[in-house]
Amino acid sequence: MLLEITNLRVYFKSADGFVKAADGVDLELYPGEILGLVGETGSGKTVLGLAITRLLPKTAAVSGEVLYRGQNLLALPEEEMRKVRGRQVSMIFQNPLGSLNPALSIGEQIAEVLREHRGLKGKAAWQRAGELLELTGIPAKWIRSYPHELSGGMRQRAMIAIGLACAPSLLIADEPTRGLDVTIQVQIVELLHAVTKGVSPLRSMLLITHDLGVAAALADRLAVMYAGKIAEYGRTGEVFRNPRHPYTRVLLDSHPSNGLVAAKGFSPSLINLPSGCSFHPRCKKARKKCAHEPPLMQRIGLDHEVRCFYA
Amino acid sequence: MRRLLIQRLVSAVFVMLIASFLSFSLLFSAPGNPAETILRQQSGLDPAYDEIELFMKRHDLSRPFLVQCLQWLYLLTHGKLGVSLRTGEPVLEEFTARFGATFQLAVAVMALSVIIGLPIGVFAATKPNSLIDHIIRVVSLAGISIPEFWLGLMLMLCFSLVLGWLPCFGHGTVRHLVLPVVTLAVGITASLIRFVRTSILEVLNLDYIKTAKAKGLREVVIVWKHALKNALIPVVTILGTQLGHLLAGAVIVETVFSWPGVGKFFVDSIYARDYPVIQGFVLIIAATYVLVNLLVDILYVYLDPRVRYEGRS
Amino acid sequence: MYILEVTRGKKMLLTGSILIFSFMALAVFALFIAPYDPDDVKVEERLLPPGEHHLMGTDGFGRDIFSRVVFGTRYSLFLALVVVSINLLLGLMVGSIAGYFGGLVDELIMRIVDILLAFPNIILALCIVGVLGPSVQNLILALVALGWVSYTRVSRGLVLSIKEQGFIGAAKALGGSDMYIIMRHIIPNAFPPLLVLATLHVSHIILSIAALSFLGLGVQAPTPEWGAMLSEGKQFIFTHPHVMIFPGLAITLSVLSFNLLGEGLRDVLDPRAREVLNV
Repeated sequence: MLLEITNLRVYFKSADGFVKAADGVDLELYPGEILGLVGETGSGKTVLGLAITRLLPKTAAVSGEVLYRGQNLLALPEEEMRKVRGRQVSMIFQNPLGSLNPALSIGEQIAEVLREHRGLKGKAAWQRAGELLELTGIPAKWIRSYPHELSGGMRQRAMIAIGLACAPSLLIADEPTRGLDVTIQVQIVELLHAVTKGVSPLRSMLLITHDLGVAAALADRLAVMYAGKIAEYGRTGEVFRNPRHPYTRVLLDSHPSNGLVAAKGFSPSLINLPSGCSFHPRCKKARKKCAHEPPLMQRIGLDHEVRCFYA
Repeated sequence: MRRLLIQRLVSAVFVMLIASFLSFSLLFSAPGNPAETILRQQSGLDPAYDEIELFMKRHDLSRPFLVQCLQWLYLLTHGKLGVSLRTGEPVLEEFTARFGATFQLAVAVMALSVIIGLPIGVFAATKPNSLIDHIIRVVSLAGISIPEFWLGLMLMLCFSLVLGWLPCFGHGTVRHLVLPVVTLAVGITASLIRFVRTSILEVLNLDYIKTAKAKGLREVVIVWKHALKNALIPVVTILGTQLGHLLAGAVIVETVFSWPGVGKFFVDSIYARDYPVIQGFVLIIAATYVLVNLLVDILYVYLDPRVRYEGRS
Repeated sequence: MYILEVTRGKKMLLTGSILIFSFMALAVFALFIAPYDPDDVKVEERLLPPGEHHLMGTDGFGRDIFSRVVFGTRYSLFLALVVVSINLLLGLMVGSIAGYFGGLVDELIMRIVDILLAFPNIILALCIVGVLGPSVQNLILALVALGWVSYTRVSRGLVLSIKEQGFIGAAKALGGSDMYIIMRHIIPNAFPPLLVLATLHVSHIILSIAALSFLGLGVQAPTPEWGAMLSEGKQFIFTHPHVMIFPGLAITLSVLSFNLLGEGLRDVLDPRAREVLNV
């Protein structure tokens, strides 16, 4: 097991009460596996990614366990944690224009990671940065350009090059295709596939996305998140063929290829979650029980779990 | 980038034209006939009528205002700023003779403010809302609240009279430089601290700082390289405004410390109603100000790759 | 973190306001608070150190410094408020005209404003007072000459955004004249943000007045204005420093209190309003 998350809770204190961005999340990731974490905006999936690398603001209260190779990241001293980031666990963010430093060339932004974690100096770091750019499909001559000089797709490639710099065993990609043209999205998905499934040993990735198409193309397994909780968890093919949670069905139906059937209602505010199953106000199958009793995760297949009484 | 610079240059020339016009009109806005004023100034007596007539003829003062103004501008373009009524020397020479002392002061103040203000501002921004941040904030607020002339006198009292460490008047050695520089630097450092703090705090909230953290960089690198490089862009732009403070402050501090610079000469000329000097100095100070702001604009373009890029396309 | 920020802003706001009210109280009740006539010359009591009879000692003419500092509040605060009010009204008027009419008028006004903003203002103030001669009127004139431009810039921006709102169109459709619309609708809506800007400027103006008076180019010597008192007391700095200390402290404290108020307001205000004021 590469990553084992147990009972992870992330609460933010706000003027109106606690925002439960993640409320008892259990996840596991095997070496070489890609896990897709899907859900609507505001379901807490981005927070989960940030909680793993401990990049949440200090106002967030995090509890639970995040075991990486058996080591609890949440209990590591900050300095040890810093050495994990970028070296063993890398993050690829959405919005590469905002996520890349506008005042530094992309070459420098790659090279500095190598200098920090690999101890490479001057030319060697720069040389390696060029290779990484080539690897992600950017001609090395672009090494001295600044983020705003690149196209959206190139920026995302540069972002991925930064993430790959120290050959981490786990990539956390947060909406890596958001805001890109469809053709570019395909290229980025291919690139992500190449740098995880196309390397030896295989590289693991936690793919956070709202785009089921991207998840279907890349992920070995899927975790569907709703209102801070995992609603359904299983092999990608299995979940797509046989969705058991009503919310997963809604998600699949709302996907453009299925003719976009929008889910009734809005995703709930994470402050005042509905009682019982937090999906029940939007659920077609909801019965009385759903409003009072929160459902637990139940195993319904060999590798398939659902948080629903009537799955 | 070139378009931006040309735009700035054009506006700089425009500002200078207006400045010359204003400084020329200054003489005419003085109470009484300028010829009479100048003659009275020179002799200390009320001039006779024919004396005034003669003076006006000799200096073309009887022509229409606009003609005189154009004439003055023409002379200006030939570097002629007139002659000081007090010393009889050309204004431009009086200025260049004193420029060094003021420049020395200005450079020392700027250097000291940046050396002290920048790190403190950055430090405060890395510990927002902490006790130390609060203290820095209140102290820097106090720093911009103290009038320079009073601070100068108090420092003089303390370090020259009571402790006897430093000379209080004059110019020449490094020891002479200390008190005027510290006096001027307090306010400028304080506002620099405040500005750097806000600027860094704003930058620290941006997405690319999160990226830098996710890369496992040290906090020192994140703050001093990633944040500072971006935060410096707005900081540089206010250095131009700070120069305005510096010039104004120099006038006062040079007077307090009898520092033989441009500022003191300027104030002395005002006391003596030495009109040609006042006119010339307004112009020269405006020119310096415009020039420095132009340099700041260029520096800005250099610092911000985004502006550089937009200009290129 | 947000909550913390607000309370701290409020603390500054509160401290600043209390100090300002105290200064205002000193100004209003100067007659009752000051133990002596501020202009009462007693040569036999000159340069007395601070003590039982004279809280802050006496100056070179034997006048009670405490009484003079108390009466000085009137000059400094009153003059600063006058200057800031004139700047505010002038700037608001010109800015409203520029923003409301737009086009060539706007272009012309904003060009002038940009040029004037490029000037170091105390230098120009020095020149104006230097050429016109030192007097209170000329002092006000000098500080107004450049002071109005920042208000113009801000109010123009405000007017531009107010103009887009529905009720202006409605007023126009109902046949309101331009002047009526500016006076009745635009100015009242642009006023509150400008008031905050004015608060931030008061401290600046107090300092300028004190500096010019100190140089002998503002309020003239026998008047118990703080800068003028310092100008008079300069000669005693090495022999009787108490003459210099108290008026300077008064300036610093009054400037600080307005700065605290301004800083507090900036903290408490929402970010959008902050942006407007960052001109």
